[in-house]
Amino acid sequence: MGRLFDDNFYRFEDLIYDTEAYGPQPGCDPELITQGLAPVTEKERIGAEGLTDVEIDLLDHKLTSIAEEGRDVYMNLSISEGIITGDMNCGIFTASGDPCTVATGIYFHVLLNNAQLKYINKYYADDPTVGLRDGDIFFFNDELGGGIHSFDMFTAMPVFFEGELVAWAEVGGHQGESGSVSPGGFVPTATSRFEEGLHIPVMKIGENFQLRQDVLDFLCASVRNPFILAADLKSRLATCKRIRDRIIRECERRGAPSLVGGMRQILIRSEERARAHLVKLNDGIYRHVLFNDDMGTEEGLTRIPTTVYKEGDTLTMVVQGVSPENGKGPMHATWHLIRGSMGVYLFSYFFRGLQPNAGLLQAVKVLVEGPSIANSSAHLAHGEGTSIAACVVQNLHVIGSKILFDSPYKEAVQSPHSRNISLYIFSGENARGYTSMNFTGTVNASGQGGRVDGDGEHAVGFYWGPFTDSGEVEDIDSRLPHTVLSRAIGKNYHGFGKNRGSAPLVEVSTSCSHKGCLMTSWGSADRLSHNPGIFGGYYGPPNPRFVIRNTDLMERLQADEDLDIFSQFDLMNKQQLNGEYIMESSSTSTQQFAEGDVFAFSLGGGGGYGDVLEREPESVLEDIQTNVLTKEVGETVYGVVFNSETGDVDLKKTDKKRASMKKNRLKQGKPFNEFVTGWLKKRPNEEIIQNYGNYPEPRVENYDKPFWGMYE
Amino acid sequence: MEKSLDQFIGEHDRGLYLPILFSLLMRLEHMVWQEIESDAALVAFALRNGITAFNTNGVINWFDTWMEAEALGLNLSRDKNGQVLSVNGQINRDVDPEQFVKNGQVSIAVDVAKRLSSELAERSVVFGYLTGGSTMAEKCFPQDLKQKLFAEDQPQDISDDDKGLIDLVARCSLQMAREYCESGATALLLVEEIEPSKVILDAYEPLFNLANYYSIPVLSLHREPPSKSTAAVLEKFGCFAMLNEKNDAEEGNVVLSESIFLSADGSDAELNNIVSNQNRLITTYWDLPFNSKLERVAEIGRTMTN
Repeated sequence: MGRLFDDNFYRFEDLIYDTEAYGPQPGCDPELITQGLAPVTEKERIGAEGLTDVEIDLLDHKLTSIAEEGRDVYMNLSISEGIITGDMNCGIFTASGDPCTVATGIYFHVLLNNAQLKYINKYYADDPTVGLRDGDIFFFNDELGGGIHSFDMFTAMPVFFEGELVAWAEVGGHQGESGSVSPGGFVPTATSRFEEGLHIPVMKIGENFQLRQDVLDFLCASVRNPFILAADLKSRLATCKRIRDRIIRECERRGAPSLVGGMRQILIRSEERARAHLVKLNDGIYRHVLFNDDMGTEEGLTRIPTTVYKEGDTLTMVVQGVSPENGKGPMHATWHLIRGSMGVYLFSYFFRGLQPNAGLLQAVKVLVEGPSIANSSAHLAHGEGTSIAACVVQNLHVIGSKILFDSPYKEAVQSPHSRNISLYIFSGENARGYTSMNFTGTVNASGQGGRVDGDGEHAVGFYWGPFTDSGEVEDIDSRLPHTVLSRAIGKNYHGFGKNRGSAPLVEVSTSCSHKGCLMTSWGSADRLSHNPGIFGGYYGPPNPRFVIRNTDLMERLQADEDLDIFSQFDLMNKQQLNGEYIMESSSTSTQQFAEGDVFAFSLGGGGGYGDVLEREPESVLEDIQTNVLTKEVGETVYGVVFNSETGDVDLKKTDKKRASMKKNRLKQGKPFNEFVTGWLKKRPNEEIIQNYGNYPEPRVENYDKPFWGMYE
Repeated sequence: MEKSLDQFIGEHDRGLYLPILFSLLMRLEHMVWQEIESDAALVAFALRNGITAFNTNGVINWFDTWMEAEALGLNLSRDKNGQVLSVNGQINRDVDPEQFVKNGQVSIAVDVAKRLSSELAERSVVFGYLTGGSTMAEKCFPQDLKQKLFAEDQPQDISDDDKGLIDLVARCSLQMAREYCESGATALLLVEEIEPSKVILDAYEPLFNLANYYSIPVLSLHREPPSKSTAAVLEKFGCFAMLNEKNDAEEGNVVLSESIFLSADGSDAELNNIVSNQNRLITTYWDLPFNSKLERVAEIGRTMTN
């Protein structure tokens, strides 16, 4: 490690940092999970000899084409809502099991599917009861074995050429239903992983390119929607086979050694490029912290800080001072989930332009304090570990923007993409007559953060996968057991700033048939937003669950009444529907909803960039005219004065008002030491910090340093 | 939901770049003709690779002016690149158009279009290839009928039998067009190697009506610039004629086309000038030969998109 790290990092002796908080489990070897890239094999070394840069470029392009074709094929064949809209991935892995080429969807899916392949290579390939042969098909979904959560399911197929293992094809994504306690896989109140359904670390489910019927029957019998699971498993198999056939063709054309050696070179080149990128950035220690407001079974405060040491060509990311594990719900992450999740920020923003694969992560060292909510024990529920991982990634967004601001890569500076998750999982019989349970593509239309060079884009994509699609409302209506009344860009539903964050699509829907439907919701950030603004920009707003029960919607629709209920803003503010308006924790167990009950659902808006008082007044007016902002916010937050007759901006009065607002700000300012002294005296109610650890520093009693994360 | 050609063209601050690279991409994928006419998935894969390899905005599913004639019954001998070496036999006048689209490479071409439309969805344009009726007639009609159809004067004495033949060709093209439209293609590309016969062109009116019904434009590609009378007929059909010469027409709602000549000495400045017009569809004169210089094609692609 570098000097900055050595001088400043404090290691608590009774905690662990560079591996999982759990030991070996059936089908799971933590040592393999934390290994990083496998050592270069002799075949890779020989195969790479004599390969020119152009040849590697061509192979790189061809593998990308293969993976992208696989992605499109899989999305088209699947009937799972998440997969269809892009919550999925396709990957080509080296024979050793490292992800080399990615088409996604979701980056971390690929980054988290290496340990399972390495496990097969190490433990099953030579085991006569399992073995590894051409045409084998493997399945895995266990979070302890290297996965995400039980409802993200994956299939892998070895690629043999002339009897030698040359690569792996891997396909998978958000399947949803996993046989968990709640329909749809998400169990907001699970306290044990055994409430979260099927866990398969790695299992051979087929041979000779065919699924074994007994295994398929077992899998289908384990979930509530066997039709969807079987269809999707077959679509994954078809996609793996397609990828495998394409790779074989490349072996025939280029020779297997060139393919094997070239794949390794692609990884090595990615690492070299990542390091060359890092060298151009300022060294330093960068910090950011977020707080979560829910644990699953109860609300309460937990803390997720992130510190990054940037030294030379290396990043060291430390998740330290994080709240201890609490066992109060599924918001417990794993070491590998934290590491894999980083790819979402690093690949899309920080290293953008570089090829996304495991080579990039070689330049990043990851230390996650455990046992904690970020690196937790085996027996806990981990389904919503992604919420903890997301906080780390949001921290990275802020930290990355600080690092990149004074660099050749400044264009990647922006506030984090929205991740105020309040996810609704609808369950019941759909219009096509089969049982389905999942969230809708609206999850893929959250707001982007404000950027250094402009506003965020509304409804830009899914937090974990910027390349996802929000799907078509008509398709949602036919595939899920509820009906969408509208989807619209939310009003006042973004972080304000010089360059504003952007708003999500908000889906307003109803349970429409006489059978109604079930709905489970999942998430946090109901009170505390996870979408920070940067450099003075506002946070994106919190996003609690919002439903209206026992409404008169159906009667009034039948009476053809002209209702303002088709946006969350109008629904909430005008309250034209009669009914019971409920705003509550996103983590709420499965409930039955009747015909006419109304749901408002989104993933929230991104944070703003820069000072609101520096926003062009004309841009504020445009936001008002395009229904993104209310005039009231334009006046009170942005300090814009509008001509009462024409509605135009009054520039003179605006300047005057803004000058006065700045003056008031200065009046509230305090010297730094005075502020810190006062700040350290503040303390939340005991009731909400019961699971926080010591306050303010979870691992230290009576902490009195100016900022958290400084121990000596 | 599929995007219209107008939406694609208005998407960028430059023209839409869609060179015809069928032969070149088949060569890049090392495909021999036997594979091309039997493996739709592999053809689709080879075509979509061109989007990133040459920075294009989409794909054309096929390019072979013998395709329909062969599916109608002509017996062709081809080399490994698909070049026609010899032609034997006659077309089968009893072909059912619905069966026609399930024959030989026609079925593969339709399958390729379906796969590409589905896989590329809203990201890239997908054109469905059709050989023009006159080109088909030239390849497979009896000599005496061809003389009548391509005579300078309007033919007067076409027998009912021959009318039936013209109608058959038109109905087969119509059926293919229907398949493309149903599969979600962005546009149809009607390719003529020769100056079209008015009689045949008139027989294609239902195809243009069908495309209008689906709101899918038909672009007509001519090896030689079409005559004014042909252009007038196409205009009557609401077809966006694809011209082979620079078109200085006023910008408007009509999609203009611009063919570019891919040569080693073409200047980037000239290309930039061509590409800067947002309302243009930029393509090549014809399918680029399979032995075209790859580096130059790639370089032009970069210039087009930078």
